[in-house]
Amino acid sequence: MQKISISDGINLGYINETKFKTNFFKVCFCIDLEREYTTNLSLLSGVLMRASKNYPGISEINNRLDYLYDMNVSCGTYKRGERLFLSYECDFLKNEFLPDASENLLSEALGMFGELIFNPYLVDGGFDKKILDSEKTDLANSIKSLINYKNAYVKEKCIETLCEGEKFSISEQGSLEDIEKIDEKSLYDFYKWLVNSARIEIVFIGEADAEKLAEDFRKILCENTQRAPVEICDTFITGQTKKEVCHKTEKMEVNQGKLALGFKTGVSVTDEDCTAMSLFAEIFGGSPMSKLFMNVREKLSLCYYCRASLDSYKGIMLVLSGIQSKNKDKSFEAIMKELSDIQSGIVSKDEFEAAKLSLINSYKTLDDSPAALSAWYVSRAMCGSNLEVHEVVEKIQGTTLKEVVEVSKKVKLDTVYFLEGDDREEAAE
Amino acid sequence: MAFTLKENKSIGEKYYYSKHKSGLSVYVFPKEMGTSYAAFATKFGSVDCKFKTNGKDVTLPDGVAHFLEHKMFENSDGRDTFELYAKTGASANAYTSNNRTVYLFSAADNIYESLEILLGFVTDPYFSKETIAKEQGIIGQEIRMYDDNPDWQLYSGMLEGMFVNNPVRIDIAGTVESIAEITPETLFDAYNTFYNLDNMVLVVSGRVTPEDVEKVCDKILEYTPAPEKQRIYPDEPKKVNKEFVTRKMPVSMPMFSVGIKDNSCPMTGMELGKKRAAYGILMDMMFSKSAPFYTRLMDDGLIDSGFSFSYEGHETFGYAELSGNSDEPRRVYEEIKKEIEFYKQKGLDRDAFERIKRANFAHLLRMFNSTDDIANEMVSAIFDGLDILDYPEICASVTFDDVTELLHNNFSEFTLSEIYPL
Repeated sequence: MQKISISDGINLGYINETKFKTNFFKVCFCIDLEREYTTNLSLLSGVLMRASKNYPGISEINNRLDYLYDMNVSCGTYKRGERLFLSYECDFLKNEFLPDASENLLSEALGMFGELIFNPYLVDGGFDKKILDSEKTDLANSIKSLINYKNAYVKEKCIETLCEGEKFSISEQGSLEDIEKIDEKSLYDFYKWLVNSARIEIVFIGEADAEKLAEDFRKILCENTQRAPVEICDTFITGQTKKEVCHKTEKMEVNQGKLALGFKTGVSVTDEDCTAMSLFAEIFGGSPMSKLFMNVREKLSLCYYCRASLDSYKGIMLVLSGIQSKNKDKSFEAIMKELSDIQSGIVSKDEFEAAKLSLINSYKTLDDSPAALSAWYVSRAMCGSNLEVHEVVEKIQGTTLKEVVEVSKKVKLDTVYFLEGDDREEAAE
Repeated sequence: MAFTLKENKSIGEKYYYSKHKSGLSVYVFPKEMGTSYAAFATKFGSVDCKFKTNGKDVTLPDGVAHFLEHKMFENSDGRDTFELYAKTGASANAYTSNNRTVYLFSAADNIYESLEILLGFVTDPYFSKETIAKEQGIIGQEIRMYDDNPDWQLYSGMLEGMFVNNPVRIDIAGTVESIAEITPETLFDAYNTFYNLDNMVLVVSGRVTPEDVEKVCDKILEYTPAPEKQRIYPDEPKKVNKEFVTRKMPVSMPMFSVGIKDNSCPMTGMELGKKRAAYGILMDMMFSKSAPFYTRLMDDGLIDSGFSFSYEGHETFGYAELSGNSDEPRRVYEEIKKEIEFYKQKGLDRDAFERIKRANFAHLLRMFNSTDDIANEMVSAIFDGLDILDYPEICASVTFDDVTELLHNNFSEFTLSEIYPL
């Protein structure tokens, strides 16, 4: 990746890639994760995609995107550790595939970015109230709909308790209470603060003249703003485990119970033993070759899925499984047994090698997805790391089983969240 | 075996095809991507539940194709297929849809070793009473998971409302009760009828050569004579089964799925391909974000950004679906019907047609960004008598009159599936 500094707090990473039919870029506005920002950022990501000065409605914007050969434009928010991102992503056909050779979609794509982000549709020095109200309803629907997806719901509830008192427990979507406090003027003030103050990371994957691209982005990002970037959090907080494991049970009218186990790993992405921790999570529950899949599902037949997912930017790990409610204790014990097995060094050479191959495979295939690869680079930039994908692969290759067993001992259970349903009569046990 | 090269120069894509001596159709798409992808598939899905094989009449319990997919991962030597893949690092999986079962892997390295595993385990059935009982527990939980998923309940309600007899209305996984009836004999009946290589395809996309793929086929695959088989599909009336299917679940707000029945089935080959392309263009013209409908319903607060639509069309069934969240599902349903009636009366917009056609052409090209999409789309295309390299030309051949005709002939049978909070 070629790194170009565009201005204070604005960086471009350029990756020359010929294998795709499309070019891709991601522009990430990065700020600290604070409760007051989340709702503003979510609403803003919606409002900006609804109208601009030259395209004053959804149909005008999308008419134009259709005409530009199905140019994809999206804007959303997410968090990594204690940082919050507004991410604008765009992909579009390379010029060589256009029926008309005189068209240049790269300049159209940059123009569209400038238009949607820096030429918003304004009414009396603020956003349009009607559009904001519609986006407020949309966001409220989305926040409330978390309950529809039971797996995502228990995951969120488990993290709330696991990271209680820490900023990370703030939902990146925002909150219903804060929606009411925001109006078209205050959101516009937030918008101006964001574009002037956020750190901006850009990743371009495709074929372009990198220097010219950097100049084009500089024009869009600097000529439309008065940049005064703020410092953002540069440490990764793994947080303390509670003195006693916290058990919570919630009852709901569901057919399947959902069990979520929240662990603190004490290891974050900037720590030396972070690679060993990734390998641990892979052996534990990262793939169909893992201990959880092979034992809790295949041997004990307790569930359809039982997975461990590691968040190395926060230093937490979650195990999620859908089970019959009456099997909660049995499932809990089965999961914890696999953890204690690893901690006491019961890992076969085959299991260890399989985890290595599987983890390496996921890194080696990362560059087939521009969205995933660019998100990875932006996260790495937040850690101040210049590590390339192939260097991560080398680190995985160089990790020993002993290191994995050692690091696994740092993993501590903190929270058990259980969504309890009514078991129906089961025809098959 | 001799490979035939097929190329579409205008989009810079090609593949090699050959009929292997074992009877298997093999397609190889060389692509310089990080991920290579293989899909080994049989034209056997949830709709193939009634058939004659070598003179015997068979009716399968609901959910057999999917159950069989799970059971194929068990091997006669007691080893799980995932243990075999553990040695190569491939990411392996499988899925069962209404009309096909697909076994797949993706991998950066050791592609031919993984291909050996793939071809090996799918051609080596092993079913015992004990392992079937164990799988009933696992799949039972998979079914429960879908029972709690509102998107799936909405979708299955839509199919139930739309189809009277067509087995596409039956849940792919079956029910806890129906899978309890499955025995080793049931699985062998299905396997021996539909897993003959003559009924299967292999598509490999990525850093591969046809010669090396052939070597693996030579090593693993053997010819067995294809059984006589005849699939039996019931007649399907043109009318929908029920106009409304209403369910209640713990959800935050009401949800809707409007189904529009495609009454032009069965259809295969270029005719089906062209119909699908026309559906894609027509649905976009009426309901995409650039259409007046979307803005109007957003402004009226009748839909939110969760609104989406699609057309699904295969040999024996087809339907268009529009779904989303709304406080008033019945009003959205009426608005959709009104919109369609409006275009029938006033005619479609020619500018919109040209613009959407241009967008859809570009959308098709995106498929070739991914070895995963290439392999899965190709499998699906082959079983419908199609070829993904023809898609751009098929899309180009659709005329304004084609979409107008489609609108008048095939947009008259509606069903509404709705879910309300408890």
